[in-house]
Amino acid sequence: MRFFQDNTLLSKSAVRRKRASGVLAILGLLLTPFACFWPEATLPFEGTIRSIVALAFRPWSVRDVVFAGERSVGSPEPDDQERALVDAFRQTLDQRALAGLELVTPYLCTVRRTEGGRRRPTTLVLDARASREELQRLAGTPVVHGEDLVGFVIAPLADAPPQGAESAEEIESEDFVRVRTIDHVPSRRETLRGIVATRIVAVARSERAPDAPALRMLVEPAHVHDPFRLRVVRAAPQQLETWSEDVAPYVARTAKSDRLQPLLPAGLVLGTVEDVGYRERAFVLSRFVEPRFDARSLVRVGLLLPDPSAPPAIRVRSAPPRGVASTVWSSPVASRWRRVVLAARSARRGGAVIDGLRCLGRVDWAGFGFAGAVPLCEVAARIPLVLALGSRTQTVVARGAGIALAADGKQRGRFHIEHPATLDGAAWDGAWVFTGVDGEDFPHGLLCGRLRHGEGSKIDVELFGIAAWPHRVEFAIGGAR
Amino acid sequence: MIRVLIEFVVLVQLAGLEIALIARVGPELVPDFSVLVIVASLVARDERHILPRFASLAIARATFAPGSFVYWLWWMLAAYWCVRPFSRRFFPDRWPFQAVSAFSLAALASLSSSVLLASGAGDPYGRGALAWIVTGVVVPGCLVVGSLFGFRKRAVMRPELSP
Repeated sequence: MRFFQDNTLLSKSAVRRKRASGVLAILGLLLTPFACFWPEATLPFEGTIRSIVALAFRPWSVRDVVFAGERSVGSPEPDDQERALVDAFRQTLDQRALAGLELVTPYLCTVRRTEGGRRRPTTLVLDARASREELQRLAGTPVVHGEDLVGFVIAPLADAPPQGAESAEEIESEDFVRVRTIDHVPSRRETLRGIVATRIVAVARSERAPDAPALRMLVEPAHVHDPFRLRVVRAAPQQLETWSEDVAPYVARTAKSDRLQPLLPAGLVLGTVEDVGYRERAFVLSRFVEPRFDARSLVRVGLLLPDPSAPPAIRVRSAPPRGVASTVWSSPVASRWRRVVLAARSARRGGAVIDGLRCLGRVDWAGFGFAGAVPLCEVAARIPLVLALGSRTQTVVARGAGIALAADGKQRGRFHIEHPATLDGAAWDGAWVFTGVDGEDFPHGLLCGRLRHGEGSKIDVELFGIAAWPHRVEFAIGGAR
Repeated sequence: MIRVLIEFVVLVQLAGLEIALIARVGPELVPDFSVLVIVASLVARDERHILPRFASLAIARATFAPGSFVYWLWWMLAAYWCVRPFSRRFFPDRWPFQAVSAFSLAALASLSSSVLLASGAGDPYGRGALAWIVTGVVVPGCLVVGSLFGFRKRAVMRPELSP
């Protein structure tokens, strides 16, 4: 027995109980902002604890974990139709990457991952490696996607070891080809190293009225708080109406300038001209350019080499290796969400779960030999996708909105398109949906499903990942070479 | 420690059973088992063991269903603290009070999950008013049945004023 604060006599257990209730209250208060603003965020050690949950739920699954990745059996071979579909997709994608550049055939490379901010990455890491001398030679090479200028190859930093290199020889000799996009704003550290923002000379013309006056301008990356990604530093004429229905939109294309950009051909698209000012008085306060691409949605880009007859000494990887996983537990197909627990060693968060040429979902957590997977349409998950309809392709960044029931009672994965903002989903009814690139463990070109209904920026996709998953699946191990 | 481990295994199986029932019976008729755990904790009123119990159920839910561990732990703590001021009334024989509390907590769980986990598109579990009523009926029933097997409100030593 002991006295408590207000001179009240309490037993030792009662004092402990009071303390415990105080701890509960403080913990509840501390967790409130995290639970309200990031209800899906997982803790760093959560993968291990969830693995223990999986083990407590299915104790015999430890056998699967022990043998995971050691069985020679992979997923069944994809059928001919799937293979033909993916081949056709790759061809249309490459045609898209080559469009409008008949004079200079670009050297095509797959994007491996993006670096920089999650919402606005400005560095592309290509799935191609070259010696540091070769990278130095390639520095400044323009990189395009279709007829859009994406950015320029950057030189390797002299004092930084290359990322991703494993052996000592690679560290000394090779690095990935990196591309800095045209909207990259140099950080303070880069500025101290002498790296400055790229300025591009451009000419904007009306798409609707070719006879309308052109706008010559000098463009540079906009500040992060600006409404658009490129800003116009100088324009001639300074005041020109570009927003009336007769002339809009104005599309800015690169112009030839031997002094500022000798390697850059004229005619590459920078984006659409966006003005901020007084519309009624036809007065422009500031002028911006919004690029048509989003770095998160790029899959294949082309390098405009100065001498196309001499191909660069680049080592390109064909396909990332895969691991084998077995399904330990799967939530019922009838439920409005999908969770799958896999026995998978060396799976990493964000990796694609693959069945042949199809992408079923991605790894949500991993640890202790287990991994949890969710379908691509998981609520609030952002994912780059490519829509392919006939010979047309469209890269998009979509936000998952869960599983929705269609009018015929079938389940569909629902997405909201975030980029491009003007995409009309109805025009893509029946399109096949493929993965874009989202990190090393999430390769592009995997078949996700078919777009069954589109309405504005909302699309409903018949996803493979919301049907029952097979017992044996694969997962991408992009980090391994 | 052994008690915590046993509770962990039982709660993991309970979370799995809940999902299996939702798939088999439908979300409209399956009670919210997290509400059952919260009300049972209020009846037992042994707050030293609440945190491991809630954490076990939260991690099980995060593994098998939408929502993170932090979200479910926070929700259970918040729900517990919403009802705790009335905890003097939580006895196994006061089932109408437990039924109302369970119904309210089930509705609160659905609404908060809808807003925070599904961006307002409805409870991710698919529960509605009928499921809340079922929760309000089942929870006191479970506690009455539990009292037959020795589950009772623990004796709490009342504070005595010192002379």
